[in-house]
Amino acid sequence: MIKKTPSNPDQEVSTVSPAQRVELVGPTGQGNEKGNSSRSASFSIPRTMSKYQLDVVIVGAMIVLVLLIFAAVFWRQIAPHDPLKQHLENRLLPPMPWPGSSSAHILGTDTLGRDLLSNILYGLQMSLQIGAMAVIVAAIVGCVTGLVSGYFGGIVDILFMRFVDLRMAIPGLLIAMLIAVLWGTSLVKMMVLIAFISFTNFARVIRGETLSVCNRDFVEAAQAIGAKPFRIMLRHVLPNVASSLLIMTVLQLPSAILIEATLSFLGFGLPIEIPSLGRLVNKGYNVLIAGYWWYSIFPGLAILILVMSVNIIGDWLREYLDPRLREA
Amino acid sequence: MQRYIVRRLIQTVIVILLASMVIFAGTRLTADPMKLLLDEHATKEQEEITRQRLGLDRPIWQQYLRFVVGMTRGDFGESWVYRRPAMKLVLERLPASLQLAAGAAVLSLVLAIPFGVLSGYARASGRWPLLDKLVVTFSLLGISAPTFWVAIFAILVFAVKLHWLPTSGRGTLAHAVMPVCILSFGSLATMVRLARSGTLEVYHDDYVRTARAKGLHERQVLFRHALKNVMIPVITVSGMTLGGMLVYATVIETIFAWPGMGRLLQDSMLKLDYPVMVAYGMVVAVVFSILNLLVDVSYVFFDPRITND
Repeated sequence: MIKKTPSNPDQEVSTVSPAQRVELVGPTGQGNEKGNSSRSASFSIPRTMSKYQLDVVIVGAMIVLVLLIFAAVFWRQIAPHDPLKQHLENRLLPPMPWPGSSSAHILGTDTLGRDLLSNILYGLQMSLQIGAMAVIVAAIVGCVTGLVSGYFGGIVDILFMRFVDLRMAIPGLLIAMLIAVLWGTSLVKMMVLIAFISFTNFARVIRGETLSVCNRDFVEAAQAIGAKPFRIMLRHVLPNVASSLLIMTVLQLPSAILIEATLSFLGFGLPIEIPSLGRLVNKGYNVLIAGYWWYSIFPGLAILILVMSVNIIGDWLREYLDPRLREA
Repeated sequence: MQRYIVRRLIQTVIVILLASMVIFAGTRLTADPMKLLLDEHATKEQEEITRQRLGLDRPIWQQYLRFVVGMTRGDFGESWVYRRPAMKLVLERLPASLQLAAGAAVLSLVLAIPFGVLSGYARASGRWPLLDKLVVTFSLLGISAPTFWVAIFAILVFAVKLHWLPTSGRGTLAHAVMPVCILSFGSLATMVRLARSGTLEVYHDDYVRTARAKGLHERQVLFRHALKNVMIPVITVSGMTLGGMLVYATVIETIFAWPGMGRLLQDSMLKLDYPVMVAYGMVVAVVFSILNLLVDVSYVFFDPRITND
């Protein structure tokens, strides 16, 4: 019987982590030996090409991300206008180099004359805040679930993992939409909802890692000298799964941001008084055919740049922290 | 094998029953459907009559039993908006959605495997660096770009500016080009990345070296020997991804006015038409479970070390 195969159901960012891939290889445990076999066979890769080195793209992504975070945190100081203030005489001004644009509105204005750049900054802050909080909650809950499930095994494991399977039996976006509609939305509810969608990914990976760590001698030694389970999990298992946890956290952030944006785009997102990049794109879409392209393109571009920089950093982190991949 | 499939089918039924319980509880306990169905001027009698007609006056466990019994007969109640059987409404729209999802699935599998493997090969062997860079950039864009934004961008470029393709609707093949391509974009990127990293991982493995040492052509080494191990994570994720596509089709169908069940879902969600939501959830759960079963069965084909018993 195959282990229920772990993978990320939310396909928008489903990079399978190395930990998952080890499980995927199957019951032979061949994944663990891979590092050795490829080391003995590294005959053709020039060392300078090893891809875990910092290169221009990664440094660029880091700079972009830091700038975006800075802009999101200090949006109030940076934003040239009040994002909610309407100036009907300035409706649908085009962005800067286009004829008819105004230097006061670099990215143009929306249908009610509100400054688009200020709205994007405001929305960016919400996207990052919701994404980051949701992923942190998911990481904590998923990590605890995975540790307990993997360490104790037995009925706890079965119950937890069946629940995880059940959650994964339905695509994440559908669950998110259903909960958003039935439960209503607010800032906190949105975070909890997204955390619920993604915690199962953490639980699965951490459980798998915990299972393999628990077979190692130092855990047995700790058990032999009478250490309590809580202490073993915290002191011996957690440090060994920490790098996976970090990688997962970074790689789940993009999907959290994308789910929030997609929900908002479809009209199931945050309440109307809270700005959201997804809803900006949706509103802009209504006037797209009429030629006012900037209203929907720029907010989406902001999501794309944010998500892409996090993805680049996540990929780099995974290659850097995972020796199995570094060999390749 | 047969026993395995039977056991998996039983598991699937249990999962679907549990999912139905969760969905039922969600739809019945969170909000009073009466508030949605009646306008504020409705009298007490009118409310009573509607309650009886929908069976909402009985205890909750009886309602659930009725729901499950109805479910086994494919009866999910009547849509509160359209006044027609909910399941029928959903199934009428299913072909249009399946068309999209199947088109996108075929497109992403057909493109992802050769490009992923070649790009992994390019990376590992140091040949064709440009190909690898292109594939990596493209796949990074694919996993990072919000689907709805890609769709809008494509409409702007190909429909509004270039007038190559129609903006929305369904009918000719030209109508399907953008929705199918954009729906496949995300999963294509995911699968390319998996195929690429898989190829990188097995490239220096002993069995690949042996194949090469036997004097096989590099093409055979890659696509016959290396590919089989690369395929395992790819099919795992593709099962999930294809199921997810049905749901992501909601976004695409909304933007391109494609008359599929995703658009029906968005519509019924905004109007809180619970029976349609439940029927849709069940259809997706069943499709998803079947896909997962197919995925698990197909492992044996790619890796004989895995047995399903």
